Amino acid sequence: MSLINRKIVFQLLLIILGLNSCTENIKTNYNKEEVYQTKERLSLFQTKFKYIDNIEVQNFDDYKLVKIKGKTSDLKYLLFSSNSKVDTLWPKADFYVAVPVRNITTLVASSIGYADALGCLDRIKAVSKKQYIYNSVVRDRIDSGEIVELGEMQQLDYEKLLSTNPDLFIQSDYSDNFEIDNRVQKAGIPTLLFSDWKETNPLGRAEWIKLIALFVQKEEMADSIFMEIERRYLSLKDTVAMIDEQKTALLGAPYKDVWYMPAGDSYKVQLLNDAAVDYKWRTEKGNASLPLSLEVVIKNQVDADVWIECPYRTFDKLIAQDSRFSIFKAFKNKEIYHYKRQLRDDGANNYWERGVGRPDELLSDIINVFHPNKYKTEMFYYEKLK
Amino acid sequence: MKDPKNIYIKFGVLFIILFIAIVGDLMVGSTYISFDEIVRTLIHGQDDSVNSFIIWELRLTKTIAAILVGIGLPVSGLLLQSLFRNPLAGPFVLGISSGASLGVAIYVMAGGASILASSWLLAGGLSLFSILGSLLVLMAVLAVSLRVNDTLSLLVVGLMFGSITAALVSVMQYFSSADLLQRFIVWTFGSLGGFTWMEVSILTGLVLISLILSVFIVKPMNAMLINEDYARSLGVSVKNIRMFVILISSVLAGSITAFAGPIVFIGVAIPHLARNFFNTSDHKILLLAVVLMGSILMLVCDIISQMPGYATVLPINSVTAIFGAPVVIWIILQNKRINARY
Repeated sequence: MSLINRKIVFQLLLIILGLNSCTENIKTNYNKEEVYQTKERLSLFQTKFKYIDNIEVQNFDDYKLVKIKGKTSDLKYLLFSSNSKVDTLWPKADFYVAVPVRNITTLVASSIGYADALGCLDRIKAVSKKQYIYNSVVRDRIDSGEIVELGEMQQLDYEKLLSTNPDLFIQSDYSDNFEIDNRVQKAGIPTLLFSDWKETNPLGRAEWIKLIALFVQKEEMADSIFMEIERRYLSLKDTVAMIDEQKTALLGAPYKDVWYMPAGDSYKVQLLNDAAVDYKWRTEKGNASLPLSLEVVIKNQVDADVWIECPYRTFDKLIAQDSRFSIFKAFKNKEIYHYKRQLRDDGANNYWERGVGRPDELLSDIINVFHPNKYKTEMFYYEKLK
Repeated sequence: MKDPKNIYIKFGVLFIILFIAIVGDLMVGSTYISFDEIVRTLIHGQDDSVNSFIIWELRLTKTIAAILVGIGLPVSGLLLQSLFRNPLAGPFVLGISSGASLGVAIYVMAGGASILASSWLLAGGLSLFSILGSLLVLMAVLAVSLRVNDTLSLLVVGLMFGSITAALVSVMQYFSSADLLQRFIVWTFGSLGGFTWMEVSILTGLVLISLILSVFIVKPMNAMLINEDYARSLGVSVKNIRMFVILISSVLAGSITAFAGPIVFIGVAIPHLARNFFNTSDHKILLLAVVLMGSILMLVCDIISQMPGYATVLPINSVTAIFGAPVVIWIILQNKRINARY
């Protein structure tokens, strides 16, 4: 009996223990969630920008203030922990955003690249259109319906946008004075105006990863990612710094007889400078494009050594566009490169998604093209025309 | 008409101005090439030098393109204005230019380009779609013209077709991405710079044929301008002439729009200038007059669009309107009776 009793007691014990472990499991899970919740304090990391001069981040006890300075006014974001409430004593801001954001709508290709680097693609719940997205994870999620397509800014599907109820809406800003969509704002959705394309320094452009990181609370990670990109970029720059021989570059392509060449302050020209490449219009002021007549380009640069960022992928297509291109030395020597090595069938180009935020990879491609004796690796985005 | 000697002098003056304009257009470019060198290069033919390439492949093609556009659109405008006895008529009024735009819009924005995968078709793809677009509208207008007898109704129908095609273009613009939209918008600016020798020769052929055909209808056009019934009494087949005019003007407008973009202004303006300058409505004189005056105006506009001394060019469509329209207004103010000529 006592043996049986013992057995029963033992079994009971086991059961209790088992149950206990079960409940403990549930409890710990619950606790974990709770801990996760309570741990969602703002990170203490102080984000600083090295190449971007119009964004400023100030850390306070229970909030962070992110200020994007514009020409006439500033745009202020106040970030606070998602488990605290907006305090009336906090300073005035354009947007009060509970972080980390978990449901992001983005219409900006490069922001997907940054989100991927930060390992938070899963927070993207809505994008513009599949045909503009290169990232295979995002494309698969669009197919499976996990990510919603909203269309472009001009014809945004507001009803769909509201139904996905994002914590953050990321869009490009093509104005000088922060144009925020009224309807999105009225719906109480904070808008992040993402103007990385305005940066004139390629590293400055890459540094926009830090801004995304503030909203997903991965600032430290962004900082180390950026430092690694910067380190690679600068070391690549060093490898060609002493090169005497400078080849000349042509960029883009004309439409009819107007060739839009980047002006001296554009980030593309900065890349060429850092790759020790000569470029005829490097001293032209401004970061926009120069509308040059074909005549001027032929007269000045018919002997340019290499032609990069050509929009066509084959020599046939290029010459079909305008037979006069055959006059260029780069054409005769077959030294023409496009930037569509990573291209989806429907036209999405990883250059615009990942490339613009990876100046180290862009620089590597340019150095590969212009100084093949000095440096040879596989190219990321560039490819010779076929 | 009134004073043949006077008319010969006027034509003489126009020929001299045309010659000066041609030389001027060849001289002016974004880079400097001396007059001597231009003459030498033109006489000796193309060699390997950059300047020779610029003169033969860029400037000469552009100059010829300006002349062809300056001939084609005003001739088409003149015929249509007389046919409709309406000073506002022009290639765009019949919806022909809008039809060409529709073709280009389909090509650029709605994936028409992807249909033409092979490269040789791709070269002429834009033009092909443009001509198809204008032909489409033209056929519709022709079909209607067989059923309605009165030209004014035809004019209204043409306007309606124009509205429909323009609306379709807007819908496509609305749904297309920024870069495609930009390509289309740039096309609408008009350009003489996209002409290569192949395009120049195609257009030369079309313009010449249309011009020769228009010479044959000069007489019946004069009769029709007085009155369609009067023309009928003279044995003119009004229906045939009408179809003839529509055909010629849409081939002209369609092909020019295809290669140079929708340059609508001079088609309407030049016939007015010609009527005022020669003070006549005789098509024998007007035909040659619009050919000369149209070429001169296009060449001058091309010179202005070069903005001498600058590395860049202005869109030709804006130049023709900004500099051309005030001239037309001034001439109309000088001579306040356009209606009297219809």
